[in-house]
Amino acid sequence: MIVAGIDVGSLTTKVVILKDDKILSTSILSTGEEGAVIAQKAMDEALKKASLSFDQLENTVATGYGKKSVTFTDNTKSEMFCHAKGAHWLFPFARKVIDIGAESSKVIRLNERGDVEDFTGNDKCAAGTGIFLDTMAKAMEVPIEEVGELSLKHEKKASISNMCAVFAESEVVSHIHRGTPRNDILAGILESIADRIFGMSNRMGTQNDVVMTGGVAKNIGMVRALEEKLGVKIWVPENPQIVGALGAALIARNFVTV
Amino acid sequence: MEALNTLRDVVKNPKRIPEDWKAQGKKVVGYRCINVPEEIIYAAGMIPYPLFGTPKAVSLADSYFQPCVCEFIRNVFDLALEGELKFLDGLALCNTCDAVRKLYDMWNLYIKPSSCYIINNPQKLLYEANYKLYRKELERFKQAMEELSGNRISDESLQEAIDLYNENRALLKELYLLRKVENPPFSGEEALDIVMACMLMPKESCNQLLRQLLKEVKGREVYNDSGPRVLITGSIIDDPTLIRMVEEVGGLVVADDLCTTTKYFWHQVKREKDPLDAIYKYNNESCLCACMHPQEARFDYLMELIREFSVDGVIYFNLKYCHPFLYEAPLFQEKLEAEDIPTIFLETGHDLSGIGQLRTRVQAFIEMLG
Repeated sequence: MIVAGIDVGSLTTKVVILKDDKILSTSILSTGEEGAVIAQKAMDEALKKASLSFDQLENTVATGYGKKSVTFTDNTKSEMFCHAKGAHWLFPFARKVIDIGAESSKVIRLNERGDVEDFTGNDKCAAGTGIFLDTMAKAMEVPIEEVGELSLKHEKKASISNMCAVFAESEVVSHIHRGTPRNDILAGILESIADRIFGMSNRMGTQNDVVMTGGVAKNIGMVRALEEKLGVKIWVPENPQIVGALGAALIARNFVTV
Repeated sequence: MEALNTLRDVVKNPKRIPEDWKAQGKKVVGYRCINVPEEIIYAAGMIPYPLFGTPKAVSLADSYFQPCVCEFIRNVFDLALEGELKFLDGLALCNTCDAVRKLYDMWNLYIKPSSCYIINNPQKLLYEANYKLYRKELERFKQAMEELSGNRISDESLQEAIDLYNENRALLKELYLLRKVENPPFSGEEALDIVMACMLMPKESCNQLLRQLLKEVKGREVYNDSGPRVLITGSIIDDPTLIRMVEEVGGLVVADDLCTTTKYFWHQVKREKDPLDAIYKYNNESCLCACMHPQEARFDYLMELIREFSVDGVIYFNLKYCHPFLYEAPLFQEKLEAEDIPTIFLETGHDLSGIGQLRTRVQAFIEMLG
């Protein structure tokens, strides 16, 4: 059986095509302005990679911030469910998922079947999200891909106390003017995000088997900062960005069989 | 669905009824909180007008209130500053939360000409020692309403008002209990509109409409699919957007515990020799708001609703900066968890800011229940 999942995030749109228990192809595109158009493009790209046509898909499920804009399917599931399903499929022992995307971060508690038991998330501002990190990286004039590695080379973490992206940016700028070493500031920025996630994570209980998903999980410095805060090892999938779409595909599979 | 449409039209244009009333040369008294005895206002020949906000962002009122003050009260004050509540001849408030109490001071200072009364009702309820002070206070409120209207309130006219309001409560409750079935005859969004319309309308014509509505909804089934049954509790809700959102993602809002719904009509004013005694008892013997004590009584009432309406999950709604419910939320969530009832805490501004971001969480909660 061939199914697909699509995750229309605020920054990127992801597609996963699944055949039985094998990922046939994936695609990741910038969401840009037109959600519906990009969704179609991302789907076409994934289909092309797998040498399939849309008709060959038995079912498709959409998730993510822009799931409503997807025109080729009416089936939707929340991001929480999709991340839980995707993470559970990759790491069946996972009991907690920390997902940090571009504009949202959430902590999900799941049971042994991968069902959501409870969840919490930021729903008010950019604090503790990818956009926050992106803004800070720009203020530091460091490419976002390098932030993680550089932060690991810090000597003493700088203190960034503001949660607000706008105020934190001016805090970062004053660190630069004061001559705080670059790597220390980067480590401080990651620490401030970790602080925010730590609070949310504790509200969901203190499970040890934690998986991190979402684009920010590609940042090794962020993962280390969170591990340090939580005091546990965090499992990161090979491609953390597609976990939501993968979960959507897994749910699409169930829609067919049930 | 003629009666339903008529009621929903009342909510769409809330100022029409007080304007009609004023055209007949009668007075309109605004009020807020369920502890203001509307019967006394009505018996004086005036119409009580519940203060509702609008979903627009606060502008003028922000020069008078700090931004961390209850968004509902700031919104109402904004309407008053803009002259939208000019038709009010008086205002009756009561001793519930700080925001309502301070609205009294602010109104007297800045909204002119104004005749504002604040009822000093007790907050520790189910408590006999309240009688002396509270009975006296109701007497004073009665006098104030007599002075404002120029009409004397006799025991007979007050009893008539009580009977009329009791009939309204009974009809609303009869209607609400229809939601106990698997597929209720009206949606959560419609239910909110029905009660808000009843709060706005003179009770004679309102009761007639409700009787008609009871006949109309017989056999009606409103939901296409079965889904988890949800109860909404928490701060004031005077806009259907959140309830609609829950229903759009597949939840059935079958019950609510809000001051714009069940709290308005769940209990009857019991008959006493002295009608003011009856009003005293009505307000002293039920504890429905987070501003009041004992909290246990409120929780018992919530559990009664959960059982009666076979509720699968509870949405605890907090309006931004509504402190009484904010304090209560973790306590209630803990108690509900102990009863194995899933809950979710949702917070939005009165201008519905941040509601888009809530959609995913609401959907996930409904999926979790399903």
